[in-house]
Amino acid sequence: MDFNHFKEIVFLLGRDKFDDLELYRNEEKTLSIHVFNGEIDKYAIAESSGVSFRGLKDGKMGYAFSETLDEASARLLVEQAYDNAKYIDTTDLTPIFEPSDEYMINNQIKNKIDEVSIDEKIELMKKLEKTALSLDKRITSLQSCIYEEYNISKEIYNSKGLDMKEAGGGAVIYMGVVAKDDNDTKTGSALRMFRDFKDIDIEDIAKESVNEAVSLLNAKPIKSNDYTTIIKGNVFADILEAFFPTFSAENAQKGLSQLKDKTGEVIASDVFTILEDPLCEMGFALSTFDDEGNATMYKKIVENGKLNTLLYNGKAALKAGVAPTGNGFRESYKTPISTKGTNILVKIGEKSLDELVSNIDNGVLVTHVAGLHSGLNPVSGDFSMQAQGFLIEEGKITKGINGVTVAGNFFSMLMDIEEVGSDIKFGFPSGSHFGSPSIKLKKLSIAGS
Amino acid sequence: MLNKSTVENVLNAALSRGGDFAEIFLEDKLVGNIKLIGGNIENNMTGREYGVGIRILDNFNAIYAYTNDSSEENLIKVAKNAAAALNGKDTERVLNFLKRNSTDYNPIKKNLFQVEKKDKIELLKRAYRAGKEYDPIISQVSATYLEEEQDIFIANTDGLWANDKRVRTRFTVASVANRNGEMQEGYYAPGASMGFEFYDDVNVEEVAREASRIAKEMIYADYAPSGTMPVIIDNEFGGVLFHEACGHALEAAFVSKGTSAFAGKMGQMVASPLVTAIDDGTIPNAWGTTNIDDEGTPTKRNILIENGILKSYLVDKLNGRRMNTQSTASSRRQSYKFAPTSRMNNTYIDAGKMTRDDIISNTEKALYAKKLGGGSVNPATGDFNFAVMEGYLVENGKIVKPLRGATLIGNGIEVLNLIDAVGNNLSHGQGMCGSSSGSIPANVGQPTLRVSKLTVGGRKGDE
Repeated sequence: MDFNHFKEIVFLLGRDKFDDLELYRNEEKTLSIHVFNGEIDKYAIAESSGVSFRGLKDGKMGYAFSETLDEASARLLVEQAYDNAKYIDTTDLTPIFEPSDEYMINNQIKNKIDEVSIDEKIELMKKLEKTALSLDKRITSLQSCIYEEYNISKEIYNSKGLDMKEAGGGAVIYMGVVAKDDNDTKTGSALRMFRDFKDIDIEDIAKESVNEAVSLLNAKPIKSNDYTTIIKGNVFADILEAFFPTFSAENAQKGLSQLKDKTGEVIASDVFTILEDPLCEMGFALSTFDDEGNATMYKKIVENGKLNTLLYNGKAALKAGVAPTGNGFRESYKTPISTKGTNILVKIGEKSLDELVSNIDNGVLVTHVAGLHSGLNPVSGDFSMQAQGFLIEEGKITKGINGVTVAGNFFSMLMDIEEVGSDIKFGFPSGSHFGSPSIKLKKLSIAGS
Repeated sequence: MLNKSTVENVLNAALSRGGDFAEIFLEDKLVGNIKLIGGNIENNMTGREYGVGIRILDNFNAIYAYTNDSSEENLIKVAKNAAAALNGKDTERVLNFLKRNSTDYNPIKKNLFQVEKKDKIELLKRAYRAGKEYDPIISQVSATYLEEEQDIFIANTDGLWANDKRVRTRFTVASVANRNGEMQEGYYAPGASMGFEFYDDVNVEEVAREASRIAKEMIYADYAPSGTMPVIIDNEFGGVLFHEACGHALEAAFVSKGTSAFAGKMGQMVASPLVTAIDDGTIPNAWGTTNIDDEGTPTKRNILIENGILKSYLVDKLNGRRMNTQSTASSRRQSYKFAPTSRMNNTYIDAGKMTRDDIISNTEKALYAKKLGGGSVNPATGDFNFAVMEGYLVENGKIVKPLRGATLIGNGIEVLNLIDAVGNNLSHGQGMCGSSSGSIPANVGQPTLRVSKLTVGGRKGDE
């Protein structure tokens, strides 16, 4: 059944049962190409979609989702959401919104991935593998040589006149290499996200991953101590993303964030600013409206160390008596509305990474962390993670470091930021997309030998 | 589900441009999720996931495609689009399907989706009250009830025709202790391949009190030290040690490509002789148990390491081809949206002889890691990490004081050789394991054991 017909049935059935209702849909088209030993090791294509229905009855919101579009599914969606709503007993109301007065317009960012044929994409990836293997004889194999592209769209329709659709897309190249010598094995990786193949330099991707792996061969732990530390931009972006639930107003209202009642207060060093830029050209979380239909907006969340605002979805805004900030997002049609950002950036400073390094006598450059999903807790702010990087001695990067951890607390780390670099790098996009320059910390606990 | 002629037509379309094997995987899954925060039901979501994955193998290479539309017309279209990646010839074949019957390791007594919602909500409310009343320092309790019923159908050009039903439920509680604005969180989340009878065995009040106990214990605890030291890792979820240090690197996906530290080590001593490790997909009603894997092979008990010697990898069909070895029924996937690959089911280090008290009382100084969180590993280097949620300092054979969470790091083969005491109290914990074929339920397990040296990622100098 086509989606418009499905939508009509859902609205017809839903109007009888609910005071207000909404139908949300994601569509996704993906292609992935994995190359190994000069062959296409894995080739995957997919088209899929899912819908979520939610309805408000007597102030209670019920949700249901489906991946099939037929009349039986339409009936089941409405009936299940109606049944689910009955059991909600929170006193916090979840609103269904009228369209915002104004939305930003995206006329800059275009996805040009389709301008290149699949055969050309395959050849490019084979060339990437070959290049990486040829750069250094210590590169013995590839962990991954992956191209993935996606086209996604979201649509929202509600009983208050909301009727919106937005599409986006892009591509990712991920390369992981293994370097070996007589004594050691190390890996290196490189990641690129792009919308236009003219931005892609195969040689550069191969070099980045190969250099990382080779330069870490025979890296050793250092002595446990507090060190002046530079965290590379993409690593800091990942850490900020993992702690980002703490900026959710809903979490603060529920006693799950230490930033509760901190708006207007200094929470970070004065060189530190976090902003949300929904139409940032470098970002891959482009969005002009959130998953409740509210306009997204450019804003400074933290400005020169001061917390300007938390992020409000509809429910949290209503409870606090403020306007929503366009941050009511879902993980997917399978989950309820929570709070997320679009493109979240740490504002860049003036010094290059080299200049930051040159001012340190004895310190550490962290280039990789592992255990982001387990080694940190957004409620306590505590973190302890496996790390890799380089020793900085007398203003120069010297030896590789491996087998250490970095540990501390997010909130005190923000106060310890001394300098912010000019070299912005992004993490992997996951609904939101986080970017940051290299960050220099006065001190960080490193555990090693 | 699909009828025989549709399956035949789709599989033949999949091989219309060459390839030597095609498979169809259909999934129909009901899911439910109720969330309570602060005593009230905040969200209540139900839904149905439905789709078909089509896979073509051509020697060592794989093509995968999926769709939500299971009409014959669409499936043939999807199969042909996938086949377009090949440029060989059509190989007409006659398919004789043999219906596979497998042992039912997960008998279900009370169908989750027929239990009244108010009974599920009552569980959440009971847990909330018990967690909150545990101690005045507990400022917030959240709890989630999860349920799912996954029906799968698999057929392939080798004549396989198989079904399986996977019923699972899990109950998670997170408690927050707040001391003058400083917060610590405790978490506990048991689950099983069971129906609602799971809650006859598992007392949700105890689950909640356990989460609150951890939060309270940790808010008063000191920071963990940093540096290398002996570590005693407790039973149950402590099994995350083996899961990360070794399990992933035994997956054929890495071994077959030479990107595992365990490649080429079959039959060799890779661990302390005290270590026997097993991956068992057949433990009755366990969180990671299925009757068949996601390629239709009946699950088994695989001895991975016996008395320190490497005995088996975890193998799926595709990577088995590269390695010239049979599947160990270890092929899994999150859903039809993922091509299957080698993964773990219920993995554990087998019981030894010592009691927990013996191990502690025979230790001069160590970190005792009582509750563990998740972890990760780089299979190529063997470098792994996993998180301690609740720790203690052991000195002169006694538990001296609580220590806050820290990550433990080490290197796979090195650490397996440093296990110098294994307890007799084997038990299993539940987790979600993420890798290239998605997020899947997996048990980890072990008895209490001691590693003579691990790096503890605390933030205090040596004590």
